[in-house]
Amino acid sequence: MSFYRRLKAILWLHLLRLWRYRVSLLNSALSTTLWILLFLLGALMFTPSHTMAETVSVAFWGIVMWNIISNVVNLISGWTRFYLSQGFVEEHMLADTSPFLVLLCRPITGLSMSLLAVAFTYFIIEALSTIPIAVAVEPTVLTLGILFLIAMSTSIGLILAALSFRIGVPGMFVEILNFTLLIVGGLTAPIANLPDYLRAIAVFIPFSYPAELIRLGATGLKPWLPLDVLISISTALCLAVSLLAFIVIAWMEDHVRKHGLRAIGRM
Amino acid sequence: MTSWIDVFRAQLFASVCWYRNNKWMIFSSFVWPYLMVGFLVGLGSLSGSIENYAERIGVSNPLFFLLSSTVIAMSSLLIVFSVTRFALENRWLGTLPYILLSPVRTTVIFIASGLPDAIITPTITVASIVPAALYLEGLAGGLKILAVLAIVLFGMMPLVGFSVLVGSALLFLREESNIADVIAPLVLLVSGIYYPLEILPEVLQLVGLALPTTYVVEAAKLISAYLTPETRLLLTPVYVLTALTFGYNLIASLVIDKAERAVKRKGVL
Repeated sequence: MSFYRRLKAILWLHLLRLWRYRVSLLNSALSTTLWILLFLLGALMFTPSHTMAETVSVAFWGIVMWNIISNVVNLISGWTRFYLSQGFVEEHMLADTSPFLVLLCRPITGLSMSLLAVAFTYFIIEALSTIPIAVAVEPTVLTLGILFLIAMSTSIGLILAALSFRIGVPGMFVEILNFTLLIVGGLTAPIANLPDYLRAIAVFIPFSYPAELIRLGATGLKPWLPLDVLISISTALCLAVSLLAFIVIAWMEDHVRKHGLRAIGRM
Repeated sequence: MTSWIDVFRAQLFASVCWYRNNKWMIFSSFVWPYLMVGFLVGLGSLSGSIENYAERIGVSNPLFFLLSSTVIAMSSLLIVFSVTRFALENRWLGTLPYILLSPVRTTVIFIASGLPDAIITPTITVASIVPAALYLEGLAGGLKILAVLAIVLFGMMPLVGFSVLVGSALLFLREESNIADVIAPLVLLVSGIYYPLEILPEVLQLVGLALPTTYVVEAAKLISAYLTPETRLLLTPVYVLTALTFGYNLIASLVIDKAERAVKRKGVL
């Protein structure tokens, strides 16, 4: 079977599954977002009136970024539990199709969830701001930031998924990291506004650089580094995690062919 | 003949055993309200101050209000989950057909089996904030917390009816996940737990007005704001909660009968 036909079959599989579990999709898209909104709306009440419009806009884009990262990473790496236990990895390998090609298309589901969650978030918090929150000041920078974020999230999701073929990914640990990102990852607040100790952590989190690009593109908020430096660092980080994902996948495919999977069939 | 008391007693025994064997769960119930308030205050402090919060919400002691609101949120959530998860987990386990075929009416089973958790969990969560209430407001704080518990337990009555409605809906949906996962935070979101209802879009404000949690929060806000809230003001949420108790439980008993018949016809697994 040609690569094109295989890819078409995988895309069809994901779209069909997306439609079959449409209620679950809505449920998953909204449940976490609703929790975040609950806290975020409470936290916005701490804001002085004169800075409310800017804070709401930054918070909205923070939720957009977190949704992209969280859904893409979780729906690639978290899905392997199901993928492995049902014996689908072996099925794909027997059909001469890389199981990672299937996982590489999982962002379709992740981004669909993000789209639903972001639309709902916009509906809720748009009324709080006196300025339009979903308007881009610099569309090119915004698009670039979002693309970096999707590419990084996909690569990290694939790395975690590949590792889970052998060592298992502790779900609760990923969940905690996921929520920690909201505050220390420079997503809900600009890095320049973070306290020193949080800023020291944020600079080591790859997502914080595209996050600054997105804030600049969406709200015009001046980033803590010059634009060209931010783009260079984001590009370098994006290439580094993609390369790492490629190496880990190649190593894991080789390992699985020689030694088999950690999980076989339905557990 | 098996009555609702037998179902209640059996579920109460199951809940007590469950708590006895999950001491970590009791500990986390005690810590959780403080973690939630800590997270909210931490997040809010990134962009403002707690003084702004007190001014906007109109409460004299914002920390006390946040703790009581969190307890209301957790209790309401656990009440909804205790009823809806009963239906879903038994479906997952394959025991739902046997429950539906038992001599006790399904409405009675759903309500009676949810009641023990609906009483135990608010009591535990309210008890968890007693030390903070005593520290923040002294003996008056302790009395206020007792008043909050009374309101939460009163608000439980319409909430059980509401949960039965959600549980009935779950029986129809043949999905792999728990749809109540989205309903519980939605209920809290439109109830104005941490913020005034007015900041939400009008549609959600209307939804919020139909939910019991909104009035439980409203009453808690009055208790937090004043040492002795004006009886007239406090009576308004109490009257609405009474009306909602009749409304939700009446609708629930009609809906669950229809759901039971439909599910028996179609199969539940």
